[in-house]
Amino acid sequence: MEGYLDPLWCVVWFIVMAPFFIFGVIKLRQILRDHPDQKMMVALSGAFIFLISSLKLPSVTGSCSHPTGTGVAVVFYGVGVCAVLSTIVLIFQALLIAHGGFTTLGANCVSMGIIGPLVGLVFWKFLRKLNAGAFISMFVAAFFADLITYVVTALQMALNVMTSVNADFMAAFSNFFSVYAVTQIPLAVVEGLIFAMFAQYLVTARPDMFEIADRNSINPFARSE
Amino acid sequence: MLNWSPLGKLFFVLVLLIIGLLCDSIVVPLITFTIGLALMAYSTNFRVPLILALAIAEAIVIMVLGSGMISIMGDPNVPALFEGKFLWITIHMTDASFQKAWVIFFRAIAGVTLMLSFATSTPIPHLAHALRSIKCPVEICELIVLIYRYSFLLLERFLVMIDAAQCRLGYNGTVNAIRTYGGAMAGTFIFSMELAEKSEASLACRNYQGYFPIFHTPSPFSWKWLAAGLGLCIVLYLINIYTMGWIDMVSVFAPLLGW
Repeated sequence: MEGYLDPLWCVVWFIVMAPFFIFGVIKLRQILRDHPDQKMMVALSGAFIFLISSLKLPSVTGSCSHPTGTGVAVVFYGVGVCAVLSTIVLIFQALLIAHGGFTTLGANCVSMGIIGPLVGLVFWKFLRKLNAGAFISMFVAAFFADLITYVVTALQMALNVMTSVNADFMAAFSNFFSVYAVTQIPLAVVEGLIFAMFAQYLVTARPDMFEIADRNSINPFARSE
Repeated sequence: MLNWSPLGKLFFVLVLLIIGLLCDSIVVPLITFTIGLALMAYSTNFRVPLILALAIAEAIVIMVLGSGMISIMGDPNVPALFEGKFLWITIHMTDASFQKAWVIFFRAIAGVTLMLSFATSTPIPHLAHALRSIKCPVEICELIVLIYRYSFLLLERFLVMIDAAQCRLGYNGTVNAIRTYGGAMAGTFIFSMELAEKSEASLACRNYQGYFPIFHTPSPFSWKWLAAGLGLCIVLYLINIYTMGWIDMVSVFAPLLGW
């Protein structure tokens, strides 16, 4: 939420977010220049993240739990584009549904748009290399993208209270994460299952989309696919 | 407020949010909250839509819980106002953590009113237009508008599919419910993709060049906004210095909680 992070952490998380966002914009421009037909698909992926991540549940941590919906975008377009889409979505959430904020945008983008999806993408690539099906790969990717988002959020909150009120870091992290876990682990499982079903349907209806997904690089700073 | 400069409003809101973060006096977030509320009332004539009111109410619940969580994580080396254990959570509430939690709560409330005052007075195409004027990449500006438009498209489709599944008893049991949601999401996505392709063709027929024109162009950013924002920033910072320690929440709650 707006106002939760100290100025120091607002700046730190914006600095962490900046290179991913800038390379994401470059990658996005490249995709839209080379494949203009992908524009609608990218916008729909963003709208999808907005829709899914707006289903929030209060979680006793100064934040809230919700599915992240980033699994699909990261698998199709990579971490950079996912960071850009997540930033746009997070701005909409802050403005339209009082969820998140401008000063916490960097921290929210790092957890929901960069690190969570990056871990999800690593699992997706690994499982696809092992010839796992889209169902299993998407389940694991979406599960970890969601769960790691909240591990990072708990870490961010713990670092913040450590510097602002001199709290013990480990105690704060375990408190924040254990409270998140109550809502987030079941949510991550459900999100994984739903996205796995989603992938299964897409394999039947639009198999061409997974060709794009399998060409993606894990490296968010890769210039070409 | 609709015709006010979108960039000016954004600058003003950001300045107030940042100065709120830099100040430790509770008086400053209370002032920014009042400004946000006044602007929101002005832009909506105090007719806040029910769904927005519910979103604000939910945000307040989250803020109360979050501030409470911060208040119980005080410095373990400082004597506690209150300590104990609740389930697995160690509670160590100190004077500083209690005061900090209140400052954060008021900052969060102020942030919500300020952001909603901006949101209720600025259509998304105005925001995209303003971002283009400061040389934001055109692809990003276009995506902002497209994501906003497609969110409604997706939501409408999704709700129709959820209702249709309800009619077919699609939520009978957990596995069925998850399968139904998965199907509805994939169906929504695929259907919306087809609709988006059609909409792209229709936009192309209307000479769409990646930009949605605005017929009532809002005012551009001017030095008045800069002066107002920076002036208020300085005033609030001086108020912060002058009112530091005026409101001590520990003293306020001490008679009630027996501290």
